[in-house]
Amino acid sequence: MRRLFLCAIASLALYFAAFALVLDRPLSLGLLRLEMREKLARGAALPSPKLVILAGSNGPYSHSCRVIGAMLALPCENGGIAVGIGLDDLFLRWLPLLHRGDVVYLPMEVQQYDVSPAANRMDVDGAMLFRHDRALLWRMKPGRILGAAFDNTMPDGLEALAEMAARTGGIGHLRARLAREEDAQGDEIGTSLATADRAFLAGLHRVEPSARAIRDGYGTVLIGRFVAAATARGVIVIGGLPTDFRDVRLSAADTGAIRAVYRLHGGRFLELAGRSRYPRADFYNSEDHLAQPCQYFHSMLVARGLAPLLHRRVVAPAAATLSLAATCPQETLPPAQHSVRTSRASRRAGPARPAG
Amino acid sequence: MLFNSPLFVFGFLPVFLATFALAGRIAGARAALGVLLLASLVFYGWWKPLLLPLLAGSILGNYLLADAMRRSRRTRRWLIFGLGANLLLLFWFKYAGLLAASGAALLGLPAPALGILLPLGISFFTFQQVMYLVDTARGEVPACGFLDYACFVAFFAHLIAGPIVRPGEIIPQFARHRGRVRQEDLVAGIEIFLLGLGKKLVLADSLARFADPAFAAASAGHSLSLVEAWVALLAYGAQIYFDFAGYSDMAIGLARMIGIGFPLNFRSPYQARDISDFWRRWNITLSLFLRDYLYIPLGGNRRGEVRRNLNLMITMLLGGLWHGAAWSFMLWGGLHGLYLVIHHQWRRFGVRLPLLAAQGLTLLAVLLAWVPFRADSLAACRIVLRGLVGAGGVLLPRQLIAAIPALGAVARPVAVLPWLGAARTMSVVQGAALIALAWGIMLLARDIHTLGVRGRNAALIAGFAFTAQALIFAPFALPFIYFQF
Repeated sequence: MRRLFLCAIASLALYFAAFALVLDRPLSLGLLRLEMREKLARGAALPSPKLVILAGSNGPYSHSCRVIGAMLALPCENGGIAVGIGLDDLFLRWLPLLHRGDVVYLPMEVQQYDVSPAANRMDVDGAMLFRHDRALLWRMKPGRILGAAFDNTMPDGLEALAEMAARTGGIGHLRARLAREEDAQGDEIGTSLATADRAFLAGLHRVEPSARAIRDGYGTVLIGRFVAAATARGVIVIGGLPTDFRDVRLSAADTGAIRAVYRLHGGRFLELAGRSRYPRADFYNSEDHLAQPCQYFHSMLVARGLAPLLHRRVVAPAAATLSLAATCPQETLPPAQHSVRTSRASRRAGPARPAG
Repeated sequence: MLFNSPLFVFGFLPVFLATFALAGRIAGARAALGVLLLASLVFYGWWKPLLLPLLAGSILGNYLLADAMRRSRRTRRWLIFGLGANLLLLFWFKYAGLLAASGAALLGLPAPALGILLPLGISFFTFQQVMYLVDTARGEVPACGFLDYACFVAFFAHLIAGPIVRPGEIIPQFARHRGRVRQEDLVAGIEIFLLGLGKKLVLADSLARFADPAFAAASAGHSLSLVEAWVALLAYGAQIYFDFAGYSDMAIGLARMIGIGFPLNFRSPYQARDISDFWRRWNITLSLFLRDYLYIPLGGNRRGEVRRNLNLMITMLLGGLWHGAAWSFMLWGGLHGLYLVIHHQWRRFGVRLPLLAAQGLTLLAVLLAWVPFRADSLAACRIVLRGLVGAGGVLLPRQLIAAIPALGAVARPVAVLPWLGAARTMSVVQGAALIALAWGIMLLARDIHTLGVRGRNAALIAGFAFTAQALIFAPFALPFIYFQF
């Protein structure tokens, strides 16, 4: 028994030492770290009042700070990265950078609301935190610290070896790649309709979580806590719906459950006429990722929706923005004619009206 | 309840071991076996308590049948009745749906919904009892008490997915059990269990993430590219080995913890030099069952070449069908039957291939047979086979080709391979590394049962932390592949 016990201890010691000090994934997680670092640095440097968009990859792919910020005359940073980044991590990094009068728009992917505590503990950012940001990790809950310490699977270890070898061999220029994929405000770029993967998009099928799952989700708890904390600092928090395929059903009850997460914690909520749902032809390579012309088109609608909630006037979009948005297949009506429905925390809660 | 769930490892198992040891110390061996039987019924009933009477009835009925057989002069009649009853039960629960659907399809009617729930492990506990009846009729098993018999059938370590143990090997072990848990048995059992758990959680479940998406895509009618198809097939070939061998090791380890010896079920099967050798190494207990209770009673090789080939085909077709009520399993069994027939004909010529070529050919044949075994339908099977020969194109992620431009000469760049792992660029790298490791272990390493202490220490040190990681922190436990059979 002693032999088994010693083997187990040796195994655990090697595991922790390897993933805390030696093994790294410089290409995949390295890109996420670089992206996070740059977005946070730019966000910290923006003068208040500023607009920050926080979500998973739906943020940078389907929303353009360049468009929304210009139309609302607010400096803007697109802070979303990927769904695998834990919400607690994302909020813990951004909250200190938000000040009175700042605006945070949260078009969170619906699956982020019903994430379980177990899934949150094992989010991919746990590996980054354990390897590179242990100071931040210690500020999190014990369960999250333990989860981060045990975040790496055996395939992750193998991938780390491959990525470290590739990096040593000079493969993967992260900064150049990030510059190719994102602009200076954190928006995803280069996602043209011509290079969109139509066959892949046609095969995607997602069932959104139920209203009950949204209400009971651990993600909902984390988002609610963030809304309350940010609102207490005088930050204006506005929830929104993520972009998705028009044929993926999102019921009024689901929308109501999402809206409640914001309104119950002092935030506001923006619901666009089509519930941010678009034809598959508008997307790039995933349900959450609009191609760039449609990213512009959607962003113009979001800017028009946010304006009344913020009591701001809308500046007309630039001609280049309009002309690119006009190539989005969805574009059958001038954006000005697309209706927008808004609700505010101060208004009385009521059942959602079918939009559009 | 799954062996690879925290509930089993941290709850059921320690409670069972403590209660078994306590009962044995205080009230003797019979009480300890009573605890074993009770624990096994709880284990089985955890999934669907409603099916417990079926298991209990099957055990009691077969015990009484064997008893009647021993007392009667008409042993053969009792045996035929017993076999008929057991196979009818198996047929009803497992194959009535397939037969009804196939019949309806022939008549151009929609498949009727019979609403039959397949009881967990019915194939295994039925075969165990068929063995007992046959061996009793042959006079190869001495009479035993009901408790020993019930423990032999219902012992949770092998109830759901084997190994299929011989009554003559196991029942005497229960009969002479002293109800004690010896420390050396417990340590050896825990070690084998942990190594099996590692095979399942660390290797099989990781490999599943590279096998499942492509086979699911094929089921949905999507075309597969060459890399996606081969990654899926190689991942599945390794997954099913580590899944089933891991399960078997866990079963052997669990039995060993209380001093019961189960037979080996795998012996590095992918290192086989020919297809006959493969079947002497893969699911050994099922192979022996099929040989001793089907192939040899059919005549085996005693009635000429043609009859032997026919017997081989019948045995393997039924062996395929035993795995599941689907024509694709029959196809898998039929392919293996064909391989065995070809192998026997080849041996007649006396030509021997070099060892590596023979191993490679055997491996390729076994891998190709996994396609119908894993695919949900014959249409999906066709899509995977088309992918394997490159008819779905040769595609690779754009970023990978940018990093290694030479790949551009053979592959067309795409954003990602949608049906490979998590559809990231790095999924290709991760999948390739994982498959290389898994196949390296299967082709080059010795089986854990033949390793010395140093080798087992190394395996434990390499795998324990990853096993703990997967057991405690993975959001869900994947069931064993063989649980569905």
